[in-house]
Amino acid sequence: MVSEMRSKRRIVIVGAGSALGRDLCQRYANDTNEVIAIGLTGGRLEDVAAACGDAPVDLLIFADALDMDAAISTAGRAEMRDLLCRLTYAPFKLAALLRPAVAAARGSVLLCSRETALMQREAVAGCFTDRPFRAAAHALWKCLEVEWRGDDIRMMIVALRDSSDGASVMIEAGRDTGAGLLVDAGGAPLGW
Amino acid sequence: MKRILIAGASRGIGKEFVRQCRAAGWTVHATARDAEGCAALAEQCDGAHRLDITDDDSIRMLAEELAGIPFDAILANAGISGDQALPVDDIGFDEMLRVFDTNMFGPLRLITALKANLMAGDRRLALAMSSLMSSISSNDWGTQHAYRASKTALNAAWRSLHEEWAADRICCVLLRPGFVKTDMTGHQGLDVEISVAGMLSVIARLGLSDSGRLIGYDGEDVPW
Repeated sequence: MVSEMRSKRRIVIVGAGSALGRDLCQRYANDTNEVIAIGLTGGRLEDVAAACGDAPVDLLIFADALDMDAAISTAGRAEMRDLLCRLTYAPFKLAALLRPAVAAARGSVLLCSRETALMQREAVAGCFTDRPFRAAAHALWKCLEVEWRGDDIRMMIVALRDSSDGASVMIEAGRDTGAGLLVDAGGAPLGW
Repeated sequence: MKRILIAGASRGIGKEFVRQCRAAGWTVHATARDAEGCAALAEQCDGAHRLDITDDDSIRMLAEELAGIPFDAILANAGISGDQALPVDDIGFDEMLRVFDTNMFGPLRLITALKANLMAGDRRLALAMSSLMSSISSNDWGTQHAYRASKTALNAAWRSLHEEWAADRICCVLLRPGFVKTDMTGHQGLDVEISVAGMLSVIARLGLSDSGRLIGYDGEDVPW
């Protein structure tokens, strides 16, 4: 049997419309990588996943950057619904839909998050509203890590200080250092 | 006189809280979703109120009913497990929203609507019922994904409240009941009397320095 060698590493970046997403697209774009840039525009996630095609995915990055400036105590139900959809459900669902492609490459799935989402960090004022939904995404990423152990898929969360942490930081933090599921911008392990 | 509101008290843990709080000398107000539940509660507590925690109008009406009444503690106990059998691939947004609406949005909206009642009380305890399933570091067996995520979100929301309300000296604490014999667990696990007795013992000892913690019925902190 002849195994098919792929000439390029296939990288899917979700949230390519964000500053971080655009930066990542530029940094990964070279002769060794095929970069698929995905912007979330409110369409069906199944259609977003289908647009990525069936080819194996070596690296799937969720880079949707969002800065909020609202207190949790004033967050309305509609606002929380939108945040649940964008920060928690969309990455989780897309990761699940793209799992076959990532598993085929024994690839990695990387979620860009914030240090302010960590329970043990004092929240920076103005970052309260997205905190629960990013924390929920962390919980789901752990669920996926547990559920997908047999697939040899590497799950990872990089918690950035803020959205100005650049793509180079993300790429460096995403290297396989064996640090575990949740790391900081320097790639060091973090507590939840 | 110490007064508590237990939101979600028609069965299980909430119902047992009503019984034990009254026995311990609390003035107890409690909520149920329907008229039948309220009628049953009215015989067991000092004030029975209707509340659908997924409905902001219902929360607003409750706040109007309770206006001016000081509460030493408010316990957001209402919660649902969601469809526990759903595999990862079958979890849709509707299901996730349904679980979050009850388990996280509702408690947060409730406690913020009743903040003035806490400010008028002596102990100012903002309490929410969490779960070991909310602990990411403890998750080594997966399952119940939407429920887990909703309780983790509740934890994070309460941590934010702890920080926002520190200047108001409101103590925001999450409670872990243990795996208790209720409808939600198929009546397997710990006796509800033991769980609630443990949580009441924790509540009795709470001070402002405890704000922001997730504490089990056994007095032990639950790892995030």
